[in-house]
Amino acid sequence: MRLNEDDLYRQSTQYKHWSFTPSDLTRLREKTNAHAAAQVQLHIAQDRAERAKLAPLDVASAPDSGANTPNGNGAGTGANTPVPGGAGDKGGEVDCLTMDEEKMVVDKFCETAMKLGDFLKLQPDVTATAIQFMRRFYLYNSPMTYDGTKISKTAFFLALKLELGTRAGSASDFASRLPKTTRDDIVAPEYTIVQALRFNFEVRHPFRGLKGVHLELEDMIHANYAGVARDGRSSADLRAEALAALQVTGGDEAEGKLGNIYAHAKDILAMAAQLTDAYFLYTPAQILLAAHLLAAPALTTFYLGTKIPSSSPAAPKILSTLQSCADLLSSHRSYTKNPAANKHGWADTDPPETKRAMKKLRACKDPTTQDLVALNAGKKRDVVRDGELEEGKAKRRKLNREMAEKESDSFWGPELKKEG
Amino acid sequence: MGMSPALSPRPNPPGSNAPFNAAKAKPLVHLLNHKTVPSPSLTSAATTPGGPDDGLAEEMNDGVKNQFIFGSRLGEGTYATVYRGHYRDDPSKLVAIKKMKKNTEWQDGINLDSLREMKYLAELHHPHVINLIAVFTTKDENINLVLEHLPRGELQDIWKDKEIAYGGADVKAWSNMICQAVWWIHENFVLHRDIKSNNILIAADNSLKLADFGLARSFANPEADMTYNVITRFYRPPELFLGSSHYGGCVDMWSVGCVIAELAVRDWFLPSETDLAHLGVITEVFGVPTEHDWPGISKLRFWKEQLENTPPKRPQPLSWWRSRMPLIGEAGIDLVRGLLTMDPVKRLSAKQALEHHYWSATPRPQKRENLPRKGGKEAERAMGEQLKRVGPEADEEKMAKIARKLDFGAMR
Ligand SMILES: Nc1ncnc2c1ncn2[C@@H]1O[C@H](COP(=O)(O)OP(=O)(O)OP(=O)(O)O)[C@@H](O)[C@H]1O
Ligand SMILES: [Mg+2]
Repeated sequence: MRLNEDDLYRQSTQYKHWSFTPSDLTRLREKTNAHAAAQVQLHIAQDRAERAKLAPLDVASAPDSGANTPNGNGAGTGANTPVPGGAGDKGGEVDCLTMDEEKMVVDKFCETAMKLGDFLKLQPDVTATAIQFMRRFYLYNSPMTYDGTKISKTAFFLALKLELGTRAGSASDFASRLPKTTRDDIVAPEYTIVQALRFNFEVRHPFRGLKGVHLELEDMIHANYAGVARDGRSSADLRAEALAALQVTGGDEAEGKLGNIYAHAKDILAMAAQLTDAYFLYTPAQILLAAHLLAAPALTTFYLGTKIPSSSPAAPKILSTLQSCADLLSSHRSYTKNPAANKHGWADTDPPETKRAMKKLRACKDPTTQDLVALNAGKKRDVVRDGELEEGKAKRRKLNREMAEKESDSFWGPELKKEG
Repeated sequence: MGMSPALSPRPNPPGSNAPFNAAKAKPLVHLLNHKTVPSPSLTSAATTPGGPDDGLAEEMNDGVKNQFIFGSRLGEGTYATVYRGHYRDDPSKLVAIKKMKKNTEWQDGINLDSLREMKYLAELHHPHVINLIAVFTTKDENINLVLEHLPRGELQDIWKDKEIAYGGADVKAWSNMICQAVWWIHENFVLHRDIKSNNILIAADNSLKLADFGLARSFANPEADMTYNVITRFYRPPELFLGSSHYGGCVDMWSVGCVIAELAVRDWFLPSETDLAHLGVITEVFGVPTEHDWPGISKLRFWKEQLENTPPKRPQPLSWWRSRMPLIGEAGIDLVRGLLTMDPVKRLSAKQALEHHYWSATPRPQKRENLPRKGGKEAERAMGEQLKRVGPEADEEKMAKIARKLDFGAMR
């Protein structure tokens, strides 16, 4: 009457809504990118037009002084749209981020969020959940539309509420622990985020599964493994093989090595697994076994053999899946074969293409969505006034709608059917 | 004794100022203006798909929202107003739309109850757990949960309504559905933490549905520190009164025991006036537990102040149970006592409860279609008509198949 893990996993929203084939994932990102880029073009053009109308009054005297508030703190600065961009903004087509650049930028946001989690001394689960919320959020939203720093603060608070319940503390408390952040900064983007998360809040992490494997291996090296290997090997056989795989002779030595392997695999899960697409492409069990495989190839192969005999027709497929997941994890620059290395040393050295993308982002932010607090307040006003929207906004909505309708048929049509 | 549900609020144990539940108990001022919100304009929201930040996520949300039409109001909870609703393309497919209240005094964004309800119901699909069909926001930033429509009220209504006659076979069928639901959520490492007979709702086909997951949490991490400030008092197990902060499915199982006992005696089983008095009510029935009955009890946080100096007391004998619960027979009494075991370690788990001999003892559990229900003959006929029109939901059918595949222990 015990359900098997796979059956349980297939019931989960992580499987139903947040698991993708690589090509599905790319397609989704392409669409998000295309939609956002069109919005950026439109809104920047509108912004310029509005400015041009004002220009006779205020001849070319840099209208953007102080309006650009990229780092939160937007409370009360009004709904005026910040000016896109830097010195190079001379009109014409805006050079928007490509899909690949967006991904680099999001990865960078997540790295920064990871440091924020460390800075706030949050439990690893909370940080990992917040990062996965961000990764999910940016599948449906572009970093050109929503600023990573702002989104990450709210993602953290949401993760805190969900993981710690009443112990999460208040939004003001949380804001006070962050630089230049108010309660409004934390709360304002929440609806935008939960909507993009499709109201799915459970993230299944690989950490506990890894611990389970570790404990089983410990039992094996002490010859008190309660389960039986599928092929009927005795616990003494298992012990001998485990020790051989660890290249040790005695139990004490084995214990120490096992501890190091566990710590190494845990680091891979805490970093590389969070900062790549691992959660979108693989199950938690696959991720943790892949991390273990990287930390101890021979021992992991032995361990898998106790679960699935190598003669089983499924074995090669499982192994190749694990290998491709391991390749993904080890491709991240946080990955090191030497786990003793400085934990976050890697994070201070952005690859040049990431630096370029981050720089490019500054000139292609959607001017209508930078001040999230004002935007949120504006939305609330809209509800009250409903119908008496200013002309400009109404026009903008009409354009939005037309564009959305065009795209949504091909894009959302099939997705939504599942929902019904 | 004149107990009303109002006297069994969400918990508020000694030594806790319970910030969360206090907020919940506070009267919601903006309730007064609330009736203007769910106007018919909501249903035609398709014509105004939002503000300048319309993104793909919002389009997705609108797609969900536009599948449903709001109808009349069904009821009001502390955190939500519930409306009848139906699918736009098939008005005979009813739903309940639970519109979460936005408390303007709430400083911390979306409240925890709503988040938990969405989180857990999205993961748990089972024939005896209320089905969350969809979630959407309306542009006033209210979150709406689309739930399966459960038109027959709460399980509590059944035992309270003295017009309704029921017997041992009925109690057995109800109890079994509850145990299956709780088994399922525990199998998924979710604790409900507010099981009580008014959180168990009744579907048109008479099946029971565990609802209200606002206090639920995961117990997958055994090290996590949990609050003992959960579960409505009448249903709260002794270890929580004693301040236990590491627990598992056993806390829910005590509540299940209380619900079954309640059905058996057609009254509150362990009614009390205050949190402080409740442990006394429990020991009146179950005796004062000692380190011998319950190893480790003296290490619990409030044991010293609550129990250390209580004079010894023996539990009520079997004859007491026999005289109080003739409806469920020897086997039923054995199950209830197994569930209401003071030591959480010895208490029956959901799995053990499903393996209990009560289910296979006579009488057989009542067939679902023959279960007694609220309302006279008239109401029954109307209900029958509605059931024919509505039909079982596709999803439910699928789940029933899955459920059949799982071998429910003694449920041959
Ligand atoms: N799925 C449903 N189908 C039909 N009616 C429902 C459904 N859910 C709730 N209701 C009705 O709406 C009322 C309010 O429900 P809700 O769950 O919000 O609050 P509650 O459980 O009564 O209160 P609280 O959560 O504060 O204890 C219920 O009492 C019931 O009458
Ligand atoms: Mg309720």
